Amino acid sequence: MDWRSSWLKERKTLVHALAAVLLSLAVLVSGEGLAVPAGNVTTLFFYYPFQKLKDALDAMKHTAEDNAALSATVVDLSTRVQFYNEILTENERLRAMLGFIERSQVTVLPAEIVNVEGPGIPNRVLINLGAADRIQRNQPVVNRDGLAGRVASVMSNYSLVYLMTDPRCRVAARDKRSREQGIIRYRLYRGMYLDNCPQHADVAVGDTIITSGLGGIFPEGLVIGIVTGVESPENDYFYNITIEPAVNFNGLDELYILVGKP
Amino acid sequence: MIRVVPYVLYLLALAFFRTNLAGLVSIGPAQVDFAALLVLLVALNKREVETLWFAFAAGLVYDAPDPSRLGVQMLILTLLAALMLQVKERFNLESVGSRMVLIVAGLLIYSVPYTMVYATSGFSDFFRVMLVVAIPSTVYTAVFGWLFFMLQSGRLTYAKIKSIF
Repeated sequence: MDWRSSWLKERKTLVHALAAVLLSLAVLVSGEGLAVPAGNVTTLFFYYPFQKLKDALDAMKHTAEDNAALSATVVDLSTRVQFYNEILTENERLRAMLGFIERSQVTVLPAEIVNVEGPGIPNRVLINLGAADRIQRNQPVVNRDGLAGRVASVMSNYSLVYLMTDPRCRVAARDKRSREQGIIRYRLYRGMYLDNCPQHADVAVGDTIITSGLGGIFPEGLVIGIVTGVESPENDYFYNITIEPAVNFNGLDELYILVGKP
Repeated sequence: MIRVVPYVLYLLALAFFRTNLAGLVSIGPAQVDFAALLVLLVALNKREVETLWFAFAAGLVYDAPDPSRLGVQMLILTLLAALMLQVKERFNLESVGSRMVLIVAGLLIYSVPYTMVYATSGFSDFFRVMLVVAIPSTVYTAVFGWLFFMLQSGRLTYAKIKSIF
């Protein structure tokens, strides 16, 4: 046995530790080229069976209740759709008369939550739709109460969603009543707030904040939350506007992805 | 090859925990750092080389749903395992108390980079998140470690639990 193999044998643990650390660093700096396929394979092998099991159990548990609730909802919505179709036809006719550009159609895809993560309040969820379901990065994610977040990364059968409670999820927004604009942000322990809104703007407690449609990611008119406080700090050009989110992030069950250009 | 089987089962347990149990067993902001606990328990009970590669694989499984961060947990858990392997040589691990000291210290060390990478939006949040989320999570996770050691040492058995009722 030469000195090299004897040296390696004596320091076997150190060599393995270094190899594992270097491999971790390689994965970390490799970007999507290595991380996405590795993540896909691992998710498929380790997470997919448990997700299938969870889906099956959830389906068994809730099928009867869901059917009854959905039947009532279908009747209610069918009536409303007839009413709204009339309004839509009228709206399209008036928009055509005014020369407005046509709004694109957005399809809604229901998604189930596979995993929820976040410190204190959830800020990231994994959903059971991926590239195979036409999901793309930055597509808006909503639930029945309003805007929940956006798709952050897409795998073949899963996608990661940054919720509105993630500091990386910023949304161009406006006051529904006064049309004043700003940027919705979220910070842990500060909560949701409307940033970049100057102190001369007309924003009041109780106003509904909706997406403005600026930025091209989120369509206009999705409900974000309600203004719960407006402060005018001295020596600052902007208001401190706190928002109560419309979506209950601690009780997320179903999410919907808006597919199509906003 | 057969030696790999238990580790694959541990990794499946980690994925099962993250998919189905993590939300159920969390109490307020306190969550169970199952990946770190698994790595620490493996470090205390298994061979060195196997522990290091298990920590690496646990990091891979942990971050797989979020490829944008793949590598972070691999690095944190591998370094944690390496550190634990170094420290345990200097400890008398006969008593549950000394093993618990290592578990709590390991979980606290793990929570620092975890909080920096996963839980904060800036340096100002760091200490607050450590105080409100990371430390309660460490204590809560350590309870599970303590239960494991009690079961492992035979001090907690089904008969003893039954006798309470």
